[in-house]
Amino acid sequence: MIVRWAVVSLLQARLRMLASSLAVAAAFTLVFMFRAVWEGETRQLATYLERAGADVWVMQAGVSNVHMASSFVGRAKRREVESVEGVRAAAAVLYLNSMVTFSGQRWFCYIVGIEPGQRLGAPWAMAEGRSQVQPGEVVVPGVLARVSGVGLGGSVKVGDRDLLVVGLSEETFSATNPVVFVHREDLADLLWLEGYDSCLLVQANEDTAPGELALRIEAEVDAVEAMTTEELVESDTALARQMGTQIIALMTGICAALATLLVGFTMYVHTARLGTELAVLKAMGFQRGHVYLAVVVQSSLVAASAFGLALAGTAILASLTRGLATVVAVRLTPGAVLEVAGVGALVAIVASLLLARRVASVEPATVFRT
Amino acid sequence: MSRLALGWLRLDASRSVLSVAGIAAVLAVMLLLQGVKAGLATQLRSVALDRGADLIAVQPGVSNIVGARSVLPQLARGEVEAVAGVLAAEPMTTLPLIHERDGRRTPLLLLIADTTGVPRAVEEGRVLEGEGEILIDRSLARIHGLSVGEQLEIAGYSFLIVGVVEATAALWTPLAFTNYDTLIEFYFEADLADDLSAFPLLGYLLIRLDEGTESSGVREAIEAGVPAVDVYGPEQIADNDERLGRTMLGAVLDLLIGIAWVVGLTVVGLFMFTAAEGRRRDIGVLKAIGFPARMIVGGVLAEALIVVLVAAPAGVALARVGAELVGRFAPLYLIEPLRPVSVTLAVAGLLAFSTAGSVGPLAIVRGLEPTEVFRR
Repeated sequence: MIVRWAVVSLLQARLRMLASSLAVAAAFTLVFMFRAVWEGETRQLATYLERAGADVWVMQAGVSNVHMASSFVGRAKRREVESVEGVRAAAAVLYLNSMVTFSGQRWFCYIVGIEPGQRLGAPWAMAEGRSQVQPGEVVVPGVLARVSGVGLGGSVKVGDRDLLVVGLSEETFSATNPVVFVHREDLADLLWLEGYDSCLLVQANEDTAPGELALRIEAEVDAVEAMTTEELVESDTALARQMGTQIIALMTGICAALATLLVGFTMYVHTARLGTELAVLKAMGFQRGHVYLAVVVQSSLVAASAFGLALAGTAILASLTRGLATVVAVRLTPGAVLEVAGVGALVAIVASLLLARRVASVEPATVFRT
Repeated sequence: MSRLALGWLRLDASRSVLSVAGIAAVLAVMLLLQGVKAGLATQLRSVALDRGADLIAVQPGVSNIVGARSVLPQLARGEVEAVAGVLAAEPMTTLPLIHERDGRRTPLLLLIADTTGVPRAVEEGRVLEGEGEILIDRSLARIHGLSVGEQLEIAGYSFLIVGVVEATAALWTPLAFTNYDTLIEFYFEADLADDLSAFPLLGYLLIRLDEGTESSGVREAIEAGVPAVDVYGPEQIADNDERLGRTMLGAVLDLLIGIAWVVGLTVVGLFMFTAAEGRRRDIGVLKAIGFPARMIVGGVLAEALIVVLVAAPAGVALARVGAELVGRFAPLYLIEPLRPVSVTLAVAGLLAFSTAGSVGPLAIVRGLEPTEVFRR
């Protein structure tokens, strides 16, 4: 009965409840968007690793990341790796995190050096032009070409040299680390580096499991680290996530505190209006615990409706972001939804507790005063 | 009207306090987010500006310290020092590394220099003196629970932590400092590679000029006489590093800040709407006993104004406390929330939205029958 009363009394103030739910939903939306943008960008970082075509990545010993790391593997290692049983094909890439200038605008990119005819590690989907590069040429992400206005036949500056844009690739853009492809020798010159690759991309025979092959390569080739693509993707995304974990947690905490305050405020205004009814409930013999239950139910309903509105709002914002701000990747995971749901439940309970004293102080005699 | 507003605010002090707290919290969130972006720029700039150089020589085509790999030929140092007006050209190298402890990996930028370039003051411990020593940023110490006297292990090599320095992170990556003797030892003893020729020894030259020497003239003379280097002022490199941060994270942060502003201002409007709507009965009573509509509207607006004006300093203080707490518990992130432009814009936005939110319910009240307010 008390639950029914809680729901009915809440529905009687529909306009106020809608306004309150929208306000709380706005705070939740902010949390969702933080997570969605961070997750989107983090996942985008791993796209090159996932799509480069390798089953196993071989890097300098002790290096287990591409993101925020550098790796140097002697050129002779390629032959050693190719001779390991279970290797179908191997190719080398040289890479560097550095600035690339697109018509005066500088972008921090992964610059990948490949050789002509190389498939592993080369662009896998093209919007326009060709995926193979000769010395002096470059393939850039199509998104970056659109944003900067540098198209096929234009030039971009990598280090101190101008390179001709011969291809626009797809799926290679992220706001934090777009991938551009240059000829291996151009990058080696830029790095003043002869006789080295950054990593080897290995394809396994059909009957060889990548994990098994990685172990075999580490056992047979000195001073290298071999990881399956799955492991490397996991390692890189975990590193990127760790870099932002604290700030995301802080922002989530701040927004959760704001949401708590908003739910608390809503319930405060609501219970202030219902003072007489609460007094009647107490006069009728309902215990303090029943009245608390009513407040918890109402807070939970406000938080739950806000959560639903926030999910809808986030979906709209995410699709708007994809349409308008093509440079930012947005991805909302079920895990993030569940975490925010947990925060929402906490918000409802804490907001209810804030009102406990007020509810407890309602005197049954109040009913006779008005 | 102000008396009416103050009367309403006093009538239910708890609700007024909650309104002020809510709006202050919204303002704090908006300022903190803006502060993340401002702090990121400050951190990036300080990498070049804190090196103590009058000019910085880099590999041709490179114009950053953060996010760049610069390699210079060993002979470049002598050639630069031979240019008139150059007092000294101290070597500096940067090396991106990853420290792993207890399954947690943190990327760090190791900055190697002997005299100019390394911090001369530490928050804890002492400055670099001998081989095998390292200074680490406070954020790295906190993330991994490291302290002075402990070992920092990277690629199988153990550095001895002799000091902890403050505010030397950039792009959410802590900096660490060591000297060249340690770098050589690290290259030979760490599990890096069979052949070390790929690893940089000289990346930058931190140039100090003779007193009273004009830097632009020396810069031109170096670039003309030493083709193996490009030369920039620390301010230019700081600008480039800041631009790098804007390019990498600007779109992401701007999107989040934009959403936070829209959300924040909407929340304030809805907050004031709820507050004013909750006063509907009081307003109806005033209307029933003959208060002029002008006075009621004025009272509602004055109430919104008072709430925002009280909430604004509270929100600014809350943002400042929040930034300090972040600095204490997560020193990797510098938050600078109190830029005057941000504060002014945020307060103006709050005033506009809270006013709009408060006035909304008056339309409902206008249609309210005086007798209706006496019904339950």
